[in-house]
Amino acid sequence: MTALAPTRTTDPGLPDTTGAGKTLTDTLVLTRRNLTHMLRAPFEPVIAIVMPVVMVLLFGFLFDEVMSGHGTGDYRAFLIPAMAAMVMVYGVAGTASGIARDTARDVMSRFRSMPMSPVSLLTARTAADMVRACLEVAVLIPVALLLGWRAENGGVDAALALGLLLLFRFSLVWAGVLMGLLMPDPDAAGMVVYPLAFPITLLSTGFLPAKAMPSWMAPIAEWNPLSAVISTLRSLLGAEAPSSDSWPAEHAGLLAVLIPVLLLTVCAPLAIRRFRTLSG
Amino acid sequence: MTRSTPAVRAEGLRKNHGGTAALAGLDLEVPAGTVFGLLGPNGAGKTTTIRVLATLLRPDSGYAEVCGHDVVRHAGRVRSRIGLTGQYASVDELLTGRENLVMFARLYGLATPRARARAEELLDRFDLTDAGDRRAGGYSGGMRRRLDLAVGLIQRPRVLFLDEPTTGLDPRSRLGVWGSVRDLVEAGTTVVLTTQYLEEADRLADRVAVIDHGRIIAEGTPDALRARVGGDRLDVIVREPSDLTTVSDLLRTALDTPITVHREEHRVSAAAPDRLSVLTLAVRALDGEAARIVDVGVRRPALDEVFLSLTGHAPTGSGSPERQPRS
Repeated sequence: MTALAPTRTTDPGLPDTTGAGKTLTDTLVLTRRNLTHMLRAPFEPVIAIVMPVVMVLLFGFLFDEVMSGHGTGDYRAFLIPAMAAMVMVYGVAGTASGIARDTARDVMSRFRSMPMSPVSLLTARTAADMVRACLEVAVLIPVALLLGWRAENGGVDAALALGLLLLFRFSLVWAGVLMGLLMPDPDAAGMVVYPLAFPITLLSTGFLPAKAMPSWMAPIAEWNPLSAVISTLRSLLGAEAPSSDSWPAEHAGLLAVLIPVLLLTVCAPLAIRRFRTLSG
Repeated sequence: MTRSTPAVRAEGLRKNHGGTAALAGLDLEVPAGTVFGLLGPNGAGKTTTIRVLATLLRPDSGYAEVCGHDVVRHAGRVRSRIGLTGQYASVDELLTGRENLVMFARLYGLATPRARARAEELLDRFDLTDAGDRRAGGYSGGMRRRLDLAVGLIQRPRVLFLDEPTTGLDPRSRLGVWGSVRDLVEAGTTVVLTTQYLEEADRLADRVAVIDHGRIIAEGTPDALRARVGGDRLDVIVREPSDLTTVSDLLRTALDTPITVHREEHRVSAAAPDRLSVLTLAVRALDGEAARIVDVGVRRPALDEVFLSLTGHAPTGSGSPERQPRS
């Protein structure tokens, strides 16, 4: 260890620790850190995107024959919106485990002993995960093109679909933040998402139209919030789907926007409150 | 901060955890520019004390200030004046040493160019320049502790809290950490450290407080504390229990200090206020008795003994490196 100069000579002064500017800087610094983590520990993000893609490819080729004649048009094109929605749902595992790691006791002690804005841990997590969501969509587009999808309804509708997908993801990210804060063990927080996401994605109209389901199951799938998002994506992306006269199917567009907004208004304040008790 | 303001002052701190009192009315005063050691076994309340002083934990009652600022009401002001480091404070394992320093410097409010410059300075000071581009997750225990210490020094803290800075380190790394702490103090930083090792307190601290059951039970310089236990003593270890009487009789004649016989340990001991003269007299008296004797020496009391004499109970779990339940 080399000798050191007296520490008082260049006192950096006392930086602003509270204002909005500091929160923004802290958020950017931590977002960059979170993105670096994704690059250096890519296992989880890769699994979260590979799994839905593989599942859709398997379903698409296995059931293509069986499904023709159920009004799904090209079954593989029918599955593309389901695949996109699924990727958004599976990404929650990364959010939950990431926030649980950030708030694990030792790291939190370090952050909280510093003159930084603690809430930037949450804002940086959501920012990084939205960047990740955009990258995921960028990976999905060529897959969808390979499966035969074309933006048949034009660019505006495709952009609306993208917007809906990202709004949906944004609400899920906050749900994931809440989950990660409630389960502060990072592994458990990541794992708990899969057993939840699997039935939610399958018990929707994503893979099968409600008409093809047992009669007791059809209403569950129709009322599944994911179905509203998927049907709206289908109509925006120009995928053929059998019509349904159930209430949620007729108001899919409205629900597709309302559900993420509702999820956000519930999860974000709860997450922030939970975070404050954790750090208080 | 004026010269007379103590770096740390605490009065009647109390904190309960699930029915047990982690802090039971703790009072503390640390003069600026000194090294203060909090000494005690696991679970005594050392870490809880540090967590309250570093604004991480709100006391149930009592008052504490750091550099004259209330740790509860003005936590932000305290945070811009302290550094926290030690066994449990952590660094980001996926980032390199350099990236860690730059990130934390940015979070401390330094602009990017200054953050980079500060990172280089600290890497150099802690001999981490060569390892700067390696991920912290791959660092050895000693390197991690050095990086951790470097992070704690980014904002040139007025008060540095070191929570068990050397627990679990090998002897060489421990010496390295001690060296850095001494350098810091020379530069004017106040250091508050917790330790389970009397030797560590001895090497570093100007003053030591012994903590037990959430309360300070003794305070003073390391030498003064040792004196309260009876100071140094001469030990003669004999080969056979039957030799104990012969040896103790010889010592009693030669020395004018009280003699005690510890039968199970085959040991005769005598108080040695003057180390050298007691040793010389004893060796002269025992001349010719070499066959009966295994070892003769003067030694200083260990933490266990200081503790035993101050509290009446042995420190539970002292020296064990495993984690203590914190809060």
